[in-house]
Amino acid sequence: MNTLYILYVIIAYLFILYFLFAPYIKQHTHSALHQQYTTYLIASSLGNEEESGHSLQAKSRLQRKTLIQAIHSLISHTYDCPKDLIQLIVKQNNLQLYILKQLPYSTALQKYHLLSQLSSIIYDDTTIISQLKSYLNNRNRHIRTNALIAILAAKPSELITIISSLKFELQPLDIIHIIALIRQGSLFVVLEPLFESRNINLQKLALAIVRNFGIDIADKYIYGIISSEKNLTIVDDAIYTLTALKRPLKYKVLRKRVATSSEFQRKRLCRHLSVEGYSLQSIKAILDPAECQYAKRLITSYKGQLTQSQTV
Amino acid sequence: MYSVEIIFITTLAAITAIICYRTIHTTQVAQWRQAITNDLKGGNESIGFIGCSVITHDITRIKDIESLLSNTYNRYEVIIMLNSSTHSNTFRQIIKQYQLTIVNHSQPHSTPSYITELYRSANQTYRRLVLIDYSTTDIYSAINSAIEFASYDYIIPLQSNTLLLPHAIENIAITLSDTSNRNIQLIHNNTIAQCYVFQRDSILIHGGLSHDIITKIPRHSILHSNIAFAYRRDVKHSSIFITGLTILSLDALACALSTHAAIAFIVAITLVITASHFILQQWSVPNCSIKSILCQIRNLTTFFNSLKFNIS
Repeated sequence: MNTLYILYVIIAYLFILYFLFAPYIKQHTHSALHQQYTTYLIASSLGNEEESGHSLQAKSRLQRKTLIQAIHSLISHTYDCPKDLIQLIVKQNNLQLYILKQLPYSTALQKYHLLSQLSSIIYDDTTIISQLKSYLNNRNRHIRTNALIAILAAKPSELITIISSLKFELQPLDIIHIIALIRQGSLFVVLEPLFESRNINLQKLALAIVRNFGIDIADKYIYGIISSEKNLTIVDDAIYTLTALKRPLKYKVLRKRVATSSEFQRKRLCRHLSVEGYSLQSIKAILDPAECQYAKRLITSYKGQLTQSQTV
Repeated sequence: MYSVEIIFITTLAAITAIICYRTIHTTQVAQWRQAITNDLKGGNESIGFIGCSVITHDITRIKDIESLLSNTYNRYEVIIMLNSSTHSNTFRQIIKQYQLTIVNHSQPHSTPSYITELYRSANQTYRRLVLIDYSTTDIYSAINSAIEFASYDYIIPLQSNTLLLPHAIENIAITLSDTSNRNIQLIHNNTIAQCYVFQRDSILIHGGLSHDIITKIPRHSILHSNIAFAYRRDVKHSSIFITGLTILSLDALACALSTHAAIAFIVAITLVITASHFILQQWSVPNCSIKSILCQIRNLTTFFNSLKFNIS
């Protein structure tokens, strides 16, 4: 009894210590070194790249880990980071190899972080990419996505081939990650081949690019999808993209397509059109008058606000 | 006596072990979600066009309204319901603070209306805010009338003392887009505070919001989330009193049994409080006070309780 009791107290107090100190330890372990590396990286990218890059050395495991985190956070928060400098530091400190060695022995969450960090430091290397491809079949969707992002960052020119060969459908969250890569300047995309492809993932990506970068010359491609595509998810995505950009609507095409949607989808579209600022006439031209009652209430209230705003 | 002591300590150990397991599990889920939301920072796209309308009532503090309006997501609105006759000073203060003006609104003929006036802000900064002046003591009926003016697909009814966590709406959108089930009618979370996210059409199909609406929604359409969306600003004195009284009576029982049992009980309570504090820190819950921790303990103990929806 006594042994059990002592064991219970010891285990409980170990847990108490863990719960009490884990957040603080986690918070403060790397912060000083991280700050030092970040300052160094920023100064190096502004100054003489070659010289500064050579003097940044990470030897221990902790130093490498922190250096990778610093590079990742710098690249995630800047648009035009000097790639040559980063590549020099990565090669000099064997950071890619370090991450690849860590990957098989890490937990799912650690894998997620490591792959995300790898996408910031990766450069074109056939052996690394072939190893990363195994993670594209991972059960965890978020790990799959980050592996894809890392591969795309390493081989930006093969975007169409890589995405069209995917065995899974890209979700909105995955698309947001790819868009972030484009924003960082790590990925260059030509829109037409994406729209012309029959691959659902490429079409989704094309629509997201149009939406995010406000491309207003893609209407003909979007209407092409609305009128001919059989997959209703893509059609919905296309309609929402068009309306999110507040483009003029071709009522006939839209009405024909919306008629095939479910009642829930039509109501959702009605709300979306109202919020995006389309007039009641526009909505009536697409949906049945009975379905527009809700939009009428919402629009009346919104228009009231607009009128008041102009007079203030 | 000796066997009773063994049973007591074993039960206590089992309960604390369950609580610790649940703490670690929920923290891991929170860490995953934190990693995903951190990666999404900088993206200006709403996830899958998911939008939420937060409906709250009888909020009397400007600070709480500020907190509700400060969520980081681009497709959400906050509908505040306030009775101008009972809260005339607060009502005037809110109108002045947010430059609200009365907007025209047409009521649906099918349902009785409890809405006297509808206000929106002339200032675009506060475009998310809708103030409704209502005139009924039945809060469910008032909310059902307010839902008619909600612009988005998901409704979050909140109590007056419940506020949203900083990334709550983003987390709801991620939760919805992350699931393979496309017909989610309700998301339920009971980690820090009870929070329900209803699909707008689901409320209308089931005859409006009522205390027994959850029993009407099919189980396969309910998603239980481990991610906290909301927290309680204050905990009622009665619940603190009941929690305190329970702890004291159990402690007295433990003392009556033996010194071992009494110490084991104190260890268990310390562990539970520390674990709760750990969870709240991981979630970065604002106002993480002893009241919130007590609330967390109460929520941990009500884990196996059946679903109840109570707005008042």
